[in-house]
Amino acid sequence: MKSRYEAAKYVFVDSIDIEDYIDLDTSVSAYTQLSQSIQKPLKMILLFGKPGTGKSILLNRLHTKLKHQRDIYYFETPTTDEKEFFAKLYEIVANQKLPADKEVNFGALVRFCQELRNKRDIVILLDEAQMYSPQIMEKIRLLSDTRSIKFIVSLHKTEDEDLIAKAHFQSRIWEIIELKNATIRDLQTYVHKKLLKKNLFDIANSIHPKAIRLIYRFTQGNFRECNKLMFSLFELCQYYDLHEPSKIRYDKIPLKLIEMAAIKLGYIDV
Amino acid sequence: MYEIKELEQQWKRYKIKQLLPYAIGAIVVTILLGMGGFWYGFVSDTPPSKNHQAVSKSNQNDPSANTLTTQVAQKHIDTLWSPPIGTILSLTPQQPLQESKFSKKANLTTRHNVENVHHMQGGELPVEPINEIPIIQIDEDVGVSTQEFSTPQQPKKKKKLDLHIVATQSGELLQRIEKRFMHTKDSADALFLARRYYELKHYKKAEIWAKRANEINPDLEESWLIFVRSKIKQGHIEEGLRVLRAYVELSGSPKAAALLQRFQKR
Repeated sequence: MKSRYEAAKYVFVDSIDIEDYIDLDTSVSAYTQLSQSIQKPLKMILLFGKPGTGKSILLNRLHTKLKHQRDIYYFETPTTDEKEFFAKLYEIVANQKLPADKEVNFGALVRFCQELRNKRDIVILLDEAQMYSPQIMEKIRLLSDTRSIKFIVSLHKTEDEDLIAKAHFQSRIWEIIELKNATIRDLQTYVHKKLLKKNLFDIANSIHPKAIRLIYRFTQGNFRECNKLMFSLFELCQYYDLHEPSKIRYDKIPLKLIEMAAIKLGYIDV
Repeated sequence: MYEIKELEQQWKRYKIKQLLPYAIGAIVVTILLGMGGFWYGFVSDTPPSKNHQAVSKSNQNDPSANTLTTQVAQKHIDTLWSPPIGTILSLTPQQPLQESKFSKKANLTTRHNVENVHHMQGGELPVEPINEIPIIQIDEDVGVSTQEFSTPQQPKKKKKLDLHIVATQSGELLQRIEKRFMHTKDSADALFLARRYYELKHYKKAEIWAKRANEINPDLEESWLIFVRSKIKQGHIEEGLRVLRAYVELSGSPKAAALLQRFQKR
């Protein structure tokens, strides 16, 4: 026997798939700003925010929306190997694969990019850029100076922001877009829309504003944390639905279960 | 799948922890309210103050002491002290009557009074009990009386003691001042008594005490004016005006002059 909450549980599996993207006020605003910045003659655009604020899914959406209109490429997984990184870059710039036994001559790559100026307008989306080594970041800076490649760099907002504070990068970062945690209203929209997308209307209606306020209290509007909590919540609901249906209400998610999920995830220290 | 039962136990512990401050707060508030109510009830039901008890004790010890109620004033004040004429005259060998420059000029005041005094020698001066004028009036709500002083009483619930000093002291108090004057010969006491008796409309006594004040200190303007007024109030208008004219001539007092003018207009 299947529980109604099983489908709801998988709605909140953490992913950056474009199908899971939800239009919220804040995300729409960030997307608009980002897409407009690409049009400007900028060298680098910095997208930063706390983990779980939706940077990766935003870049993914941008790539998905614009890949048929522009020369835009999404480096989803950061590459720590310099050779591998520039090999990928060579493929984009030269429109051909690098021979297996060859390495990219960085100087030649820079000269080639300079010749591409005004001929091509390449946009590279770099996710989790804090994982790249300083040497790679320096070379990225030099490539952005050619003005044929525009980099959109996504970073975690950290205490130690010396990468951004370095003078040679500051002069090149022409636009900074910060993503923050969702508001309580946005979180409510996020949860409801996620469930409605999968046609789970009853379950979406059973999550009342009081439950949303409690969820917000534990997650502080962070999408990743919200996904985790909702997944655990529906896991508990699934259990009670199957084994102790008297303890669950179908018209209203009990706050007790939200608190139990929070205890399980460590949001509440008992 | 994690242990649901264990999770439920943890949730119960969490709820107890969460509600504990509220429970403690509610208990504290209840205790404070209880203490507040107890204090309020206790304070409002306290017995009479120590001051009252001290007064009652002192009153009990001193039979002539004044109580503080109108009823007591009416009961106990039946005579106003006034020294017998003989007493007055017996004092004069030590301190003969001083004929002030004003009394010499007036020529009538002292002798007239002495004559009057002699005429009345046979008996005491007329007594006018002060029963229409309260001595010290206390709000009836307080309801403290002499009888109540002697025994512990159920205190009334009103907190405030409202004292209205309406008129002069009782006759017994005036008597005390008069007794004191016999020893001190203080013109201030005499003047005080003259003023007090004048206010009480005992014009004869006011005249006598004003005269005594003049004799001790002829420079007291007020005593002269009280003397004149008392005379006029008793119907001795010509005599009063004569004294006043003499005083105005000698002192040049504008106040006395104004008073003379006022009387002459009438």
